[in-house]
Amino acid sequence: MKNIKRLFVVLIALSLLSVTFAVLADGTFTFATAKDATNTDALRGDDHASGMMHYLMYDQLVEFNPQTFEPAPELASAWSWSEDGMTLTMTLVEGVTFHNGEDLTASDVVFSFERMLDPDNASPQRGNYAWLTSIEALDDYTVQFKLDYPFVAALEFISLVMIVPEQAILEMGQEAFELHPIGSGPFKFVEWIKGERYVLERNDDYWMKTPLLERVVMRPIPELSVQALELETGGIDMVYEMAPTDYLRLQNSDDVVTMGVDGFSYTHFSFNLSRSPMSDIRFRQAVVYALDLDGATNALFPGNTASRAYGQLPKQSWANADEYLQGTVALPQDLDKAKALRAELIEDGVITEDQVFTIWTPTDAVRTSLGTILATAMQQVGFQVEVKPTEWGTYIPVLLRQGNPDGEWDIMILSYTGLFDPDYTLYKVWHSSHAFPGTNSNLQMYVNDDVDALLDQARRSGDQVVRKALYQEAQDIVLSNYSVVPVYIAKVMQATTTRVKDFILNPRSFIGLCNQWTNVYLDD
Amino acid sequence: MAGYIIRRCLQSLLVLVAVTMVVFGILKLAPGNAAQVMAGLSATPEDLAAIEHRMGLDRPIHIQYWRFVSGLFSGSLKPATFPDSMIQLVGRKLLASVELGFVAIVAAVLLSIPAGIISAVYRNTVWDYGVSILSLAGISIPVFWIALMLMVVFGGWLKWLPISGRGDLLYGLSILTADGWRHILIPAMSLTLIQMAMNARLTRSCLLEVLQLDYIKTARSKGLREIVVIMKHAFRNALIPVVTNIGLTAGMVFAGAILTETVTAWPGIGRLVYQAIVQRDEPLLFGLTVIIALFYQLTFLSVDLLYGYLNPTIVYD
Repeated sequence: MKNIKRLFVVLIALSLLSVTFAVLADGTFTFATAKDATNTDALRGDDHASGMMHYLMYDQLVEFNPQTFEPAPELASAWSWSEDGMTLTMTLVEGVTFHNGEDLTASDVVFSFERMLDPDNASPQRGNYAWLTSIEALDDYTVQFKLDYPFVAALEFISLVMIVPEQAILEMGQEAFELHPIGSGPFKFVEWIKGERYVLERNDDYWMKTPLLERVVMRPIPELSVQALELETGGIDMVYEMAPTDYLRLQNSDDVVTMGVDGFSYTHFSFNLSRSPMSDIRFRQAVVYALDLDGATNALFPGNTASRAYGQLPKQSWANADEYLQGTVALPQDLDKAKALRAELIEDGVITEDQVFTIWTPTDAVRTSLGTILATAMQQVGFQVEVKPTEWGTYIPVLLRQGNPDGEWDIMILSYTGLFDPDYTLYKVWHSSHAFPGTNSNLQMYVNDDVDALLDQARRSGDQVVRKALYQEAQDIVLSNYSVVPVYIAKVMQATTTRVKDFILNPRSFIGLCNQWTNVYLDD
Repeated sequence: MAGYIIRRCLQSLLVLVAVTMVVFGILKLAPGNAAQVMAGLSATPEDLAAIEHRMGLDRPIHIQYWRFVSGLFSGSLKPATFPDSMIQLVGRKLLASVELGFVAIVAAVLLSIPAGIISAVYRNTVWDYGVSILSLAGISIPVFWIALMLMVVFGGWLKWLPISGRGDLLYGLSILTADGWRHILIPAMSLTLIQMAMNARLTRSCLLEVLQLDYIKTARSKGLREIVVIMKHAFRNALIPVVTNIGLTAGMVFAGAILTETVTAWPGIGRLVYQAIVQRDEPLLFGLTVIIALFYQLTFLSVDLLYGYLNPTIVYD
C-alpha cells in the first residue's frame, strides 16, 4: 500500500514536471514588426519597435495600468509628493538584480535619468524633461526628484525612463552596452540581427515573477498583409498592428484571436496660420464645410475600426470632452456654405480663382488617402488642390519650417500619440511657448492668451474635476477656431494565435508579456 | 587579355569613386537630415544640435565625405540604426541575396532557354503561343503580386510552404538545409517567373534571327539533322544577347531584389536598402550603395569575359 502511494506521488510529480516541461519546451513567442528596431538602448532608440523590446528587457520606476490607466508601482514600491508639488520622493524595491547579477540601487536610477538629461548624450527624449530640475539618491533605496514647477504628468514621464546598470555601462562603455544590453526586466537580450530577428530569453531570476515564456522573438516583416498570413498559418504568434481589412477578415478565423480598442493616437489636419488665406477663419471653415468627415472615417476604416474624433484626447481619457465638442465645434458638411465662403474670399481679394493649395501628408496609405479625400472635397467646391505625400525625413523639416519661417505647407495631415495625462497632448500642441519655427510641436503657430492661461492653470492644478473643465474650455476655444480639425482615432488592432493565453491588449500597443498584470504563456 | 582585365578594373575603380561622390551628394542634397528623423518633432533646437554633433553632421561636407569613405574601407563606419559593424551585417545580407538570386537565375535559365528554343523552332504553333502568353504574363505581372499570390496559395491554402523569412541556416546559407529550401521557394519562384519570361522571349527572337542567316542554310543543305543545326550552329550564336540579359539581371538580383525581398521578408540586401531608406540611416545607405555598385562591376566584368568564350571572334584589346 505504502509503495503504491509512493508510486502515485512519483507519478503525479512526474506528470507535473512534464506539464511544466511542455510549457517550457516550445515557449518561443514570435511577433512581427513592420519596421525593425533602431537601438537596444532606450537612451537612443525611441521608435516603436525598439521601445517594445526595451519594455521587455528593462524595468521602469512606475508603470501605468493598461486598462485603468492608473499609475502602479514597479521598481518604486511607493512614492510621495511634497506639499508644494515640487518634490517627489520614491522608495525602491529591494533585492532587484540586473541580468548580470548586480543589485539595482538608487544610484542606477539617478544614473539612468542623468545620462538622458546630459546634453552630450544627445538623447531625443531630453526635451520632454524640462520640468525636471534634479534627481538625487537619498540612500541606497530612496530617490528624490526636484521639479521646476508642479507638473501633473511627471509620473508619466518618469514611467518612460528605463533603468540601466550604472556600473556595467561605465565599465563596458556605451558601444559595448548597445551590443550587449543589460536590464532588470523579465527577458534578457540574446541577439539582434537587423532585418532578421531580435531575440530575448527568459530571466529566471526576475524579481517580480518567473516569466512563463522561454523566448521572445521579434521578426521584421514589412508587409502587414504578409504578417496576417503568417499569423493565420501559425508562423508567428502575434501582430501588433493590422490593416482594417486583415483585422475584419481574421475576426472570423478559428486560428486567430483578434483584439481591438480605441487607440491613443488621433489624426487631424491643420492649417498654417502664418500664411494667407489659411489665417482667415472663413477659408478654414470653407474647407471644413466641404468635408464629410464621418464618411471619410468610414471609408478609410471599414467595419468601425476607427471612431470619429471631435477633440484631441483619447476616448479613455478622464478629460475627454468629445461629446461636448461634437455639439459645439463639429461642422456638418454643407457644400453651399463652403461655396459661399469661397466666393466671399475671392470677392475680398483674399484668394484668387485659380490659387493652388498644398496638402502635405505622410506617405502611408491611410493618411495619403485622407489627403486625397480632403483634396477631392475641396475641389468639389472649386478650390485647386495638390496633395504631397512626403517621406518622414523630408516631412519633419517641412513641418518645422526649416529655412522658411512661414512654412511651405498650407494644410498638413499628422497624428499625435498622447500619454494618459491630457497635459502632454494639449500643452505642447497649443501653448504659445511651443509656437516658434524650428523644433516645436505647435506646428500651426496657434497663439491665444486665454488658451495659454487655461493650460497653465490646468498643469498646476491637482484636482481632476477642475482640470477636466479647464481642458474642455481650452479645447473648445482652440477647435472653434478650426486651425486644427480632428478626424479620427484609429483602433489599436492586434491579434494572436489561439495558443497564446493571458494576453492583455494595451492601447499604447506595448506588449506586456510578463508584468504585474499578466504572465503570457503558450498552450499547445 | 590580362591588360584588358587590368584596364577594366581601373575603369571600375573610377566608377566606384564617382558612385561614392554621387551617393554622398544625393544623401546630403535630400531635404532634412538623419538627426531630424531621430530627434522627432518634440526635441528642442539644442537637442537637435547635440544629435547632429554626435552623428558628425555639423562638420564640413568634405570631412563628412572623407569620414564615410575612409570609414567604409577601414571598417569604422557603423550603421546609425544598428550597433554592430557594417561589414558583418552587409556580408550576411549579401549572402542571402546572392543565394536567392542564384537559385532564381539557375531555375530561370534551365526553364527559359528550352522554352525559347521550342517556341522558335515550332514557330506559330500552340507551343509558341503558350510560351508567348506565359512570357507576356511574367513580364507584365508585378513581382510583389506574384509573391503574394504564391504565399496565399502555397502557404495559406495548401500549407506546403512557410510564408516568409529565411528558415534554418547552415554556414549562413538556406539552401543547405531542408527548412531553408522550403523558405527560399516562394521568393525564388516569383523572381524566376520574371527572369524566365524575359529570357524566353529573348532566346526565341535571337534564335529566329540566326536561323535565317546563310550559314544555317549551308548547314541544312549539307544534310545535317535539324537538331544539330539548331543546337550546334544556331544556338550558340543566338546566346550572346541572352547572356547579356542574364548578366544584367543577375547584377540586379544579387544586389537585392528590393520588392521581392520586402514582400517575402527575405533578409537580403534589397530589404536592408529599403530599411535604411525608411530609417534614414545614412552611413548604412552609403555603404550599401557602394557595395552594390562594386557587385555590378564584378558581374559586368564576368559577362564581358564570357562573351569571348561564346564567340571567339570577340577579341579583348
